[in-house]
Amino acid sequence: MMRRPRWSSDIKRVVLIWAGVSVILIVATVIIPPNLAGLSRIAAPRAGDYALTMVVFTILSMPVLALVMVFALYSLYKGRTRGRPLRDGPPLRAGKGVQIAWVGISTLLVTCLYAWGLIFLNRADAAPAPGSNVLNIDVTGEQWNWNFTYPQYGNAQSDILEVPVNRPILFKITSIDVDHSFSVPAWAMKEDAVPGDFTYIRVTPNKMGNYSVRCFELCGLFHSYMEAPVRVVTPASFQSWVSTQPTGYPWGIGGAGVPNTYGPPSDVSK
Amino acid sequence: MNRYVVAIVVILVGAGLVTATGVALNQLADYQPPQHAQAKGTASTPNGVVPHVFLHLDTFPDSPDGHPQWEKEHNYHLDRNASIPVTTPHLDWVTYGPTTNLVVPAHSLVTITIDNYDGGETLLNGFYHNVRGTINNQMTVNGKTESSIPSDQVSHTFTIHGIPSNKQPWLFVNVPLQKIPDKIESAGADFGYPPHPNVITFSFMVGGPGHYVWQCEYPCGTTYNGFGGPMMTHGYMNGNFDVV
Amino acid sequence: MVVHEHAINPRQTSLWRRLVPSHVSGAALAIVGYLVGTNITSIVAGGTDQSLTQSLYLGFVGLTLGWLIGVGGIKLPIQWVTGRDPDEAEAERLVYRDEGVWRYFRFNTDHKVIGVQYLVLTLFMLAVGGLLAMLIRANLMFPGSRLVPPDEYNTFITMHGMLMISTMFSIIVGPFGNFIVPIMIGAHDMAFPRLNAMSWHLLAAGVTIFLFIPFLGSDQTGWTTYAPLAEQMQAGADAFLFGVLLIMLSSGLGAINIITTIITMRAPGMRWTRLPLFVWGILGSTILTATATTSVNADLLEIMLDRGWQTSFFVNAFPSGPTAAGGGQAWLSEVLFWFFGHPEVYLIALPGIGAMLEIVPVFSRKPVFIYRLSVIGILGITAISFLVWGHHLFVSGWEPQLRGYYMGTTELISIPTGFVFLGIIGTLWRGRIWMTLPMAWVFAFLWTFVIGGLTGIYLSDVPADIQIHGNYFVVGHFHYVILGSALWGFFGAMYYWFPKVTGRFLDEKLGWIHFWGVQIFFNLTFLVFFYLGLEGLPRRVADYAPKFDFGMTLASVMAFFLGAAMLVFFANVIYSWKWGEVADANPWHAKTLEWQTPTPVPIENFERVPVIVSGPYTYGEPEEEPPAHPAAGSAVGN
Repeated sequence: MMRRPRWSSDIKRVVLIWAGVSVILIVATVIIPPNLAGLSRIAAPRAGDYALTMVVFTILSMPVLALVMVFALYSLYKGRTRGRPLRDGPPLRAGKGVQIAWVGISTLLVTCLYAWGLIFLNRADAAPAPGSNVLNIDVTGEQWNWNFTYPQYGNAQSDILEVPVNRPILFKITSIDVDHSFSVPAWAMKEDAVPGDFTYIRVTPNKMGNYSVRCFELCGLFHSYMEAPVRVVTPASFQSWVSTQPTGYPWGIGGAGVPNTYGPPSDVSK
Repeated sequence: MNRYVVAIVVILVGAGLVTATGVALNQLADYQPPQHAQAKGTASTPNGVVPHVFLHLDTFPDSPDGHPQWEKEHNYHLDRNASIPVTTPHLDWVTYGPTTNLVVPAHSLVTITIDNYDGGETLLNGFYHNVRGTINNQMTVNGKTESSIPSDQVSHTFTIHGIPSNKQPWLFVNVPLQKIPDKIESAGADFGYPPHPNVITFSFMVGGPGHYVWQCEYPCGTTYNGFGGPMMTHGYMNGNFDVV
Repeated sequence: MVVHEHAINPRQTSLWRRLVPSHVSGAALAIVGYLVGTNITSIVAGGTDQSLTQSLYLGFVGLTLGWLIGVGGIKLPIQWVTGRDPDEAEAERLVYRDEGVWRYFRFNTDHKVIGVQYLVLTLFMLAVGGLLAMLIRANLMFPGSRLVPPDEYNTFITMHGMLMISTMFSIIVGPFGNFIVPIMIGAHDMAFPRLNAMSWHLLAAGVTIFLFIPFLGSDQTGWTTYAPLAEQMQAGADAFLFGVLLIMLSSGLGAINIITTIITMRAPGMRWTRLPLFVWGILGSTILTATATTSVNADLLEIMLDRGWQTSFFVNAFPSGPTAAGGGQAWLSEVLFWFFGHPEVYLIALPGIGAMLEIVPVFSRKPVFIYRLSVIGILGITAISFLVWGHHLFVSGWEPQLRGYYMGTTELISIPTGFVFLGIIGTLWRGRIWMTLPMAWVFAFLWTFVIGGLTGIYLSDVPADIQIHGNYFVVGHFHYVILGSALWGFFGAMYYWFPKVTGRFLDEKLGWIHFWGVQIFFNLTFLVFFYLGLEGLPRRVADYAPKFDFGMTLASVMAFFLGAAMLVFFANVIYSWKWGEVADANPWHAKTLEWQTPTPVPIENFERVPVIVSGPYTYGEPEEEPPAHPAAGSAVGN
């Protein structure tokens, strides 16, 4: 029969196992996969912030997961009986120390996470410096397509979102029928398109390439197909492209006698 | 009673139920047989010489199956599956015919002709009154070349799009269909339909294989904004466009 | 089957008395009521979609009224309102003491009968929801939405979502809240027995109406029924709205009943500090149910009014009305829904958490590590859950300035949740662990709920949520938290309390196959979802880009195996109810009141009102006094 060590040394043992398991989990989820599920596709600063947040939260979460499972499984390993236990266990109740420590540490963790979130939220929403050459793009979502209008270029309209690199963009988004959600995952950017009102979001793409706009709010039959290509190109290339696009008016307003029955109110400012 | 026997019986019954329901729903889903584009010769394009394929569609204000005399007169037949639909097909809904599932070969020039028998009001989104994605962004309406239609003359649109990825190229084609004038439409001289449809023809290139969808972007359906009913049920104003 | 005391003498009860009033007569009158209701309007106004909607609503009202009249349930509220309360003999008759199995097919006011009725109904709902899940995964196995077209697929996900949610919030509160909780607090029945029966019958009517959806056309909105989309739907949405409204009403009424019972009908000596943690969990959950369902009821009613009578709660204008804006706003639907929707998910989690906290001390033979903090945890979750609903609206564009506030409250709610984990882990530590099936599900709960909760922390961070909102990461998260708390809690509760409800154990061998099958295949199916979400796959899609192929196919195949493992559970229930090993009154040697009664539990639970002299978790304490005074009149085995 195996001699069972005293329980006080068990605490030390459990803590060591916990530390080890935490490290293994962190390595397994954050460091080993080279392309950790899309985190390497970072094409805008806000996407970089998002990737950093995910990594940091995982590093903080793994020890919590390990804590729960290591303590539970260790207790099972040490205390398991064959059949019904003939004696009861010790009537342990948490002392003041454990309670204060638990409440204190969890509150501290939550406060840190909250602060982190607020900081990065402000960074993501921050307006660019005055005088920056902000590109305004009006996005219309409808069942089941996106179209993009460039008001600064004579209302050039397109089904493809082509933008110049390194220029801040302000999207003004609406829908003409139901809720949609305008998102470019490569930019870690998402904002709902709501009928009857405008929503806004900013991004500054800093990497050239081809990405996708996807709809992230169920909008009916072809929600799965509500995508559009995104092309981030040089400013010169963008300039020549946008001048070749047909012009029109977003949301059908103002064009060829189209009434504004379903469109958004006309006097919304940010 | 052996517990494993009960377990196996329950698993088999459950799996059987799931399979039966799946198969039944698949069969009853009223998939329309696809129309394969007919190849007729080749065309010379900036991308080289490619096969030239043709498709034909019609748009109706309601199902021609509700106008049997018109169908007999024009020898027309809507392609629907023979299986029994759970709900009866909507004879009063606007319909594309003969089938909404289209198949074209890859790397070809596709020419589609649409006979439009329907009237209309106004587009919800003016974006769709322009022709996009076709050769020179143009179409032919009753023989005349157009690159757009006034937004209040549109009856339906034919809009192809899909999921762009590195495995299938982006394909976006939008063609607005000229409406039949209101007086002619309401007269319904030909067994309820106008005597002559508006014939719209357009051509576009398709690239590599891919699965796309097409739909109408005009509020011709039911409910408060015209995008319900036939607009959001498969088989009426939308369908599959497969490039194989 | 529950061993019944008197064999039924068929000659004593005529066929007519058996069938009327019963579920048979209820079903017959329901059909009549539906036909009457639908046809009244279509005679008056014909042809367009709108009148179909109105006639459907009237048809559903007719169905519900017919059902309630047919089972004999309508008579009682009318008697109560007109001051002719039924007398003792009538109340006794409503318990159908002498009828054996048939009493389960009647409007029966005995809480134990209602508990079993809930068990059967919620297992049926679980099975149908599971069938839908298998169809969903079959459609997603390969790109191209090959099984059914996208509109039918969207209907599957809508039905699966709402049906499973309805199942999850009734699956523990219904069977065990009804059967076990009154016995646990020393009461002889619920506070409002007739209302209790009414709740079950409303749930049955609601589920029936809900199942009309596929026959009336598609309903493509998702369980959240956001309004502009819901108003474009075919008639299937009307069945959804009305059915769900009835389900929510049923839950709200049941919740009021349970809250009143727990507050007013505790036995002498059952102080709040001696209340079993399962009862605290149920109390927290029912407080949330009673209050939050009002919001979704308003939302559903307003959508019905918009659809049937062209009001403009959520859309700006109707073609037939004036083109000036009617003042409707799409955000109103989201806000009304999520004001309910967030407390909803906590009311789903709390009974499971309560069941886990209940099971752990029994099988570690130790008192709960920190009873007070566990209760504060449950009540803290209850209170804070009303403050966090805006986190579903982080990217909706509604009040961006409030996002910081909601991020704070959402992260705050993880603190009381942590107390629950402390309670369970602390109780396990140094315990003498009896590894039975109920205990196994506690370990499953720990793993699953902690992963679900941690992924919730990611989602609560606004900048991260902007990326992962609405994609498969969210789907993975909520499956982990909901199944982890409600479904594993239900399985634990089933394996734990089945011997008390039916007198037999659930089979051990099948139980372990079920346990390991579910754990392995559940994790293999849903862990993939987190990966898919981080890769950018939106949720509720019928078709997807080829790069998600591998993950989706793997998830689908694993999901089929998960379905098979769940079927083993159903087999276990069927097998054990008839042929399971017979259990004595207190097989787990637990100290809560329900285990101090004989099996089968007598009609009024206790011969004399028990007097409580200690808490329910006095394991390892020096005095071996039983928790209830022997005047409770039953054998105590310890």
